[in-house]
Amino acid sequence: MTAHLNEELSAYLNGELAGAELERVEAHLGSCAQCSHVLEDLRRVVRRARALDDKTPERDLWGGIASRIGAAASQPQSPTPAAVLQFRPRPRRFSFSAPQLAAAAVAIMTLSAATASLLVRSATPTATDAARLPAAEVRPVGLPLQPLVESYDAAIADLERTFAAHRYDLDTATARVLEQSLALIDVAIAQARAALARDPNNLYLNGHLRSALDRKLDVLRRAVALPAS
Amino acid sequence: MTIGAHLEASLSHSPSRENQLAQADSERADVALAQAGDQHAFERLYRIHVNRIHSLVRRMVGSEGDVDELTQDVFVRAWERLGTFRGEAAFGTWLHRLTVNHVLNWQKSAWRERQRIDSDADADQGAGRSRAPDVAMDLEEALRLLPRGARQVFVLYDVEGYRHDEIGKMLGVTEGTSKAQLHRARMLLRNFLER
Amino acid sequence: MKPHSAAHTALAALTISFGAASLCAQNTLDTTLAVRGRPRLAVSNTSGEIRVRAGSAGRIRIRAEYERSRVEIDQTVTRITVRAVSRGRSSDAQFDITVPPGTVLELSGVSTDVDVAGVCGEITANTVSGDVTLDCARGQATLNTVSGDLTLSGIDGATEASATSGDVRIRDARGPIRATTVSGAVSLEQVESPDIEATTVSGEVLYTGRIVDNGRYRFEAHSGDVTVRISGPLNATVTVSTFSGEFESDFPIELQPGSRISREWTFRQGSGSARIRLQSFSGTMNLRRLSGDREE
Repeated sequence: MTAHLNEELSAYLNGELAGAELERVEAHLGSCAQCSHVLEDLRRVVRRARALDDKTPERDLWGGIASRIGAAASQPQSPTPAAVLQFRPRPRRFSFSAPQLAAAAVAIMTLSAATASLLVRSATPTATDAARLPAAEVRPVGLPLQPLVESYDAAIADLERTFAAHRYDLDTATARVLEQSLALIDVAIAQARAALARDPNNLYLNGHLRSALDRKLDVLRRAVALPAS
Repeated sequence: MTIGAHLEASLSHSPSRENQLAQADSERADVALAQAGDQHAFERLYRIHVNRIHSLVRRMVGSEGDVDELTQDVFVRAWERLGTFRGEAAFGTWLHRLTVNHVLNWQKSAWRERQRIDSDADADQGAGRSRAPDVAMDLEEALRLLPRGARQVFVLYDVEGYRHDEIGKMLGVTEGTSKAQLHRARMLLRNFLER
Repeated sequence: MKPHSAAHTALAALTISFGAASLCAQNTLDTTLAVRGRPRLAVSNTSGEIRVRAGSAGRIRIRAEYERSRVEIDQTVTRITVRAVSRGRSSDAQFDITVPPGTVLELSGVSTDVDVAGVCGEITANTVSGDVTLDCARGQATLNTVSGDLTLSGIDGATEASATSGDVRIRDARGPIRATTVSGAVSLEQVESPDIEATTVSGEVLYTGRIVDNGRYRFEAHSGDVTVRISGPLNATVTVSTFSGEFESDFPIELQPGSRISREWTFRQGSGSARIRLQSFSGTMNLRRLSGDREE
């Protein structure tokens, strides 16, 4: 019998062997109980490694991180119309470059490619492009959104109270589905608000926030009107 | 298994694919917000990834350092480097790679060098085995007893799913060394685990 | 039981109540009511199923299997109301009803599946956790559920379909469509309509169909993807809006002067007469072309 296998066992487990070497190792394993036994042990080690679960840290580490990035973050807290230009420049992936897009604001640009594909966020103007952008690029719209949002908030709070009282009339699965859906909408609302804080005059973001608030009202209205199970 | 697939699989707390997709999309929004300076969005990203990153750091540093502190360092570093995240891979994959690099750099620093030599010397003399208790161990505990080189390769290859060529580049060693260290780690762990 | 003639009950509503002999026993009923013209049928149930099929004109046949509940049927000249009244928990009623084609349906239930085929009339269906499956409707179709899925086909009329965690799937439809869900997907296929609004929060929106000249279309998600596959010619002004999402198009893109404001793009295709809005806060939006019946 040839000498016992060593590193070949790991290579075999990893599927790195081929041809004559693979045949040699398999032949040896077929006739050597000791090496087969070691191989099985190693296989178990690998299996356990792949099944390791992640654990939650024993203490919450966010406080320490927040204090360190808080000091580092020098972004203005009050939203300004120019906030849209403060997004960090990012490399672009597709056909448009930011200067081209800026040019497109004053001229029609036609792409005849069969597939024109652009990464919208890639076109966020870079700091250097910002100087070249026409002022009209950031159009102050002055939407009277704030009072509207406040009236939404009041209506939503009312319905939330009603739903909280009604939820125990519903079967638990339905109540859970509704709560999960409301939580999803809350994330959408939070993200829309955070985005708006950066870019308060963005028509789409204003519309999107209203749409998310409408959605929440709609789900709550339906929820409180549901028949008891 | 690719790193991306491995990572996504480990990240999936919810069973439904739809939820995972929704989570990934929501994460993309939070990344963009965090890139624009939104700390709440960054905190949401932290909450999603902290278990994964903390566990990775713990396994890589063994008993060498303060895992909590290094984890915090990683997230602070991620915040500072967010502008370089291009969205080509999942944010989790990017953060994972950043963690590995950060821990390796920390371990490479001159201050840690002496510790490394001591640690390797221990294992080479079979001290690692003698320190192990006489009962079967948890794999996490056993990892702490491995010499650093073997532990790094084992964690990167068997736990995290990197390839030998990637590990070689990260650690600045040849693929052959990576393979040898992996086998050495597996054999040591076999002894720790199978007693 | 003999058919009850609507003519005999022209002045006084007729109520029949089918009680359960014993609470636990399974009861059945099979009754046929004579109706005139285009009748209106309302069915409400707590748990179980409401299945409606088209039968012959002039009669509505109601078959039911029910336990821990009783069934009440009210009939007036213009309207028949069928109710399963629950007697305590885990009641169950399965309705199998045939109606004249074109009957107007008002169906409601809690954990009740609704399955309607071939009736081809107006319909309203509300469930909490049941699925709604509808094949063929004319006029207004209004469907609501919380956790069920809505699957509709063969609609010629206005459709309003709303789910919460369920999916909304509409196929082969003409007429205005409002389709909305929160975590589910909205899928519209083989649709030809001048007025469509499809929205979800975390699910995806998928549209396959024609874009009618002068039509109005809005496809919106928050974190989900939005995919629009267009068959036939496209004459539309398209506005794409996002915060951190992506956009991909098979169509050549002409950006209008001054059309780019922040993360919003407008471009025109052909005469530009239809208006398409694609919106996803963080998902990917796709504008695709269907060539023939084959997807590219």
